[in-house]
Amino acid sequence: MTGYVTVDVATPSASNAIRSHDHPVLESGNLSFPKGRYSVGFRARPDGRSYEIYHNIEKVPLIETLVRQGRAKFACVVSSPLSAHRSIHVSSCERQLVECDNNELGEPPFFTAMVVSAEDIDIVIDSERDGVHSIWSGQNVKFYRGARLALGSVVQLQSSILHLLSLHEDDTLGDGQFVVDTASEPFRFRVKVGTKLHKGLRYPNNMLRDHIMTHIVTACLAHLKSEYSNDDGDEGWRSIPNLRSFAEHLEQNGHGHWCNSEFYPEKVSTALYPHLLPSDNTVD
Amino acid sequence: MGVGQKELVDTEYTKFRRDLLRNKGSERQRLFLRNVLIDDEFLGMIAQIGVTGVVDAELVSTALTESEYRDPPSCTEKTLYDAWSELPPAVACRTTFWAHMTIKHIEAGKIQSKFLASVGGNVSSGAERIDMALDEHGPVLPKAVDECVRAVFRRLGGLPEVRGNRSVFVDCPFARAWWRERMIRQASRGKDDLEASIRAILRTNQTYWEKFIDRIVFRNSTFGSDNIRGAFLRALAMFIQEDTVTDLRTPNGLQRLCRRATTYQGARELSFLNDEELDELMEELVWEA
Repeated sequence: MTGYVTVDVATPSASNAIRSHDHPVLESGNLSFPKGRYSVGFRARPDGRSYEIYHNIEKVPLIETLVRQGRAKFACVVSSPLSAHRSIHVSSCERQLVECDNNELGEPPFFTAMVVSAEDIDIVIDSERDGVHSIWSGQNVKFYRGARLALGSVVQLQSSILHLLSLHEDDTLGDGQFVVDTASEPFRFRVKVGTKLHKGLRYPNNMLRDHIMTHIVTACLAHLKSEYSNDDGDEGWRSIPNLRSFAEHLEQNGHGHWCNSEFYPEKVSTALYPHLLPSDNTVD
Repeated sequence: MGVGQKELVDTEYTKFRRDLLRNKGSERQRLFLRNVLIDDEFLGMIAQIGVTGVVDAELVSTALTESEYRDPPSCTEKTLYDAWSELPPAVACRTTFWAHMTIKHIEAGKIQSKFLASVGGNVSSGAERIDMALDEHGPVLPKAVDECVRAVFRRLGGLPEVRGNRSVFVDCPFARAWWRERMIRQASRGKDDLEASIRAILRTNQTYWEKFIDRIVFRNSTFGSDNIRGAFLRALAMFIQEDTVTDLRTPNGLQRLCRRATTYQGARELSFLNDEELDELMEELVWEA
């Protein structure tokens, strides 16, 4: 799995979703497979249009057996709502190569990994044998062709703010200056930086660089607060996938988002990327 | 067509919109509207936004009237799509592309900039609407002027920061024609009678089209899949041919049907099915609605 970004797309958690479908499903918030886990590794290929995907399902004997028998398949849905695109890519094995047509994608794609039933299957659940919660034991369930046996969360390989911003040299700015611009399609921060600063920001693992990036992130968050603080429900900024993903990312980490009156850009940026200090004794 | 299509520079155009929309009824907004009334003034003002790309898109061959631009009849939409059918969706979803395309049509005298303020209804022309907004006084002035400015941006290429991703599909007449015809032709698969029926459904009215688009552009939506969308439209078209008074012709009926389809998708990944299976499923869905 070297070089893969691995995401736990379905993990067991308490919820009442156990019988929300007509059959057991491995998905977050659903205890149908109490010990089951589903993680997916993603690796973008250098051609800029294809992705290696590695599905890893664990402790779900029922699904593993159906896959081994060829009665269930791994699949990955690639979507780009901005350009009305959604397509499914199917694989018989865990390792999958997904080739995208960039002409169809108006933004970096979203991925939804899943395992689907390749045929109609009738089965009597044995919770011990199948690794399924006892509530299903002894029940005759039907998996229709296309039924989702495992379903991962939607992943876009850019949900942190650092993936939403790019740095651009601007020789009209002073050496230490920067200014935050935005582009709409897809939403991105384009940060123009003076020539010397641009050169200095190219090298990671440098404390000064980290401080400056925290400052830049603060400016980006302040921009969101000033320009996107109207909460229009599903309309407005919430229909911009990049922004919605980022807002969800902030909320999941307890920072709220830019529509909240208690959202302080500097507080959030320094929580996400705290200023690093020399060791305590040297501060004194 | 596709790679390297000319379009406005995204950051510059985004900043231009943002600066104009910041203060409702400001002198800046009023000046903008005064410029929209005169093609040359409008083009001079918009020329400050840079253009990127190398390939020019084809322009329509004949000039469009204001009403033909605002609500193109189906024959005009077909002609527009035929001219631009090779555009890739990755380009056709961009506000910056359609805004540039619209500006080129104004430059060539195919449409006039004042058409951009036209929204139909009681105030028939864009010029009339601008004049009314500029003549307002007191507390209603800021809102009237701001709405007019927003209307111009919506027609020009879409206003994503206010209307979200759907804006380019529903607000810009050129883009709307392209997307609607594309979906019609994908769904009808070359069958003329089906094509006419699907076209009639998707052109029922603007609200109907918007509700349908809402089902496509939100994240990971069922109807984003060509094969699901196609089967859905084919089944709906055939049903409406049989039942001419069904409420599935109304936006509420459409939404109810879409919700039913989404329920099917809740348990099954419908895009995994082949076209025959999907047609069967969607026919069942529509006839049971």
